[in-house]
Amino acid sequence: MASGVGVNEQCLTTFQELKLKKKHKYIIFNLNKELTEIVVEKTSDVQDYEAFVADLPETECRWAIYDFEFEKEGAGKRNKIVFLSWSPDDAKIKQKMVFASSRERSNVP
Amino acid sequence: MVNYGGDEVSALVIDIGTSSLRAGYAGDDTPKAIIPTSYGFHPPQPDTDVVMSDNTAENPEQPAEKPKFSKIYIGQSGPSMWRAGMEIGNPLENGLIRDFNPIKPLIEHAINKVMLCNSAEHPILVTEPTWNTPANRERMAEIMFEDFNVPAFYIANTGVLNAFAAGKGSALVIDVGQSMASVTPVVDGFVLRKGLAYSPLPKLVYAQARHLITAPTQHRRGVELIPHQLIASKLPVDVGAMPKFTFREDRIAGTTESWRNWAEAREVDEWVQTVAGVLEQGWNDQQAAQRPARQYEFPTGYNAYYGSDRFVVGEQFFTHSPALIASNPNLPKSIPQLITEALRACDPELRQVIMGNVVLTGGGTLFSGLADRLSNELARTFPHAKIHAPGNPIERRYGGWLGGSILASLGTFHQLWISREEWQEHGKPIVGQRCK
Repeated sequence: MASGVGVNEQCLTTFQELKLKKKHKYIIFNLNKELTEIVVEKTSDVQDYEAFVADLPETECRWAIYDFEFEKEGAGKRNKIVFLSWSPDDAKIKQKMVFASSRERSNVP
Repeated sequence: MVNYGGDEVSALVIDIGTSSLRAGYAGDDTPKAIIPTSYGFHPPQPDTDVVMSDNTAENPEQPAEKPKFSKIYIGQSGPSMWRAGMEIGNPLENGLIRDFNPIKPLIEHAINKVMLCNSAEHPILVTEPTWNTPANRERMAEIMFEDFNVPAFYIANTGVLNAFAAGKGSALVIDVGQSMASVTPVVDGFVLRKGLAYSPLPKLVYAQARHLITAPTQHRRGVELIPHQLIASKLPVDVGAMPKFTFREDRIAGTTESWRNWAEAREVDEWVQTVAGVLEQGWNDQQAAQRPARQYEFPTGYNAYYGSDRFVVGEQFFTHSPALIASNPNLPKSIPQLITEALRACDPELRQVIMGNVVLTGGGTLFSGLADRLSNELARTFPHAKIHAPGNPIERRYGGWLGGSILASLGTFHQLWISREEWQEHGKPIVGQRCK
């Protein structure tokens, strides 16, 4: 079951920029005001993970894609792109609901 | 012409459970109409036709074209009012609708009488338990389109709605209602049907509570459950003393067995909600004895203290005593058993995900201490388990309705409705195709 929310084209292009060109460190997605489309809210190339967490609001839902970089012993640096659903308990039920039911759409890239 | 629910018309959401039927506008945070699912009725008299037409003229509330009852009483002053010769029925059995006859009057009452709106003007979303049968949901669609003339209809799964209402796309939904306890794994908004586990566990808890109240022990006399409708007057008495009360003699002859059962069940329910509990750390005789006893007064005026045995009742949710297992091989599965069974059907990678998102819902989970006990039990086997249990009782009891309310209020949801035109063109199969 899905809510039928659409995805803005910009989301895909920004994601491609992150994945192929490494232009961004992370992308935060949000829904537009009418709750009909997923849009890019913020992109950043700050390397600090704390800065990324600080960008997520405490009482609202978001999705995010984070380019996680880690050292593997004896194998050098690796990158893993991770997708996060941000759904705090304090968020409004309606928002949690829309975000939960639209997640699969935002997963498409 | 509006094809189906445009943005300006709000949809209605109906959630039918064993204890109550919830109905309200999509987008609201509480249902507008909450009426008991049990209904009172008079069985048809031999000369039904004449009596029926008389009754309809006097009382516009009852639609009497159904042959099964000559008169039906629904709503807040339905079953709970004493009437001579009134029987009580409940259309649900094990969480599923078994008898569709009273469904129409029940929904009609909720929408037309309580909410005062016209069902032909609003799209309607109905919820269903995961173990609902295809025949049942098609019948529901038929009633909606043919009897209520709704412009559009959708049927959604309570497990998915509860997960969404908690903000989770994937979750393990533990739903304890009045008659059924179920564990449903939901993954990316879809129910994993093979992982569904359910049992009539709350009924066992109820039977245990009833036994505890009515059977005498050395500290207490057994209580005769007499509903307040049958009591004319009572006097205050000391703890544990014989109650002093007088019967309403005039009512005894007209009281039917089904009404008596229903009223006694309510007394037991009330006792369970006030007194019964479950120990947070698992069963322990000492701890149970240390907890303060609680006093409870029955409608007869009899009152008593319930000490450690009030925790025996709640313990049934988690473990069954060996004596009970020996006496009854077909016991309903306890909550830990249901969870194990549900997880066994899931892929090992999925187990991690859904155990991190456990959603607790249903009126039965408000049982005192149940959420704490469950999180302790889970922590033992799954160190990463995280339970989401809304603190607000409304959110907990009406989680399924709430999810439906939000889903139906989304502008983008409108493409999913089954419209009247589609129903007329495709008929019943479209319900199975559209509502997955």
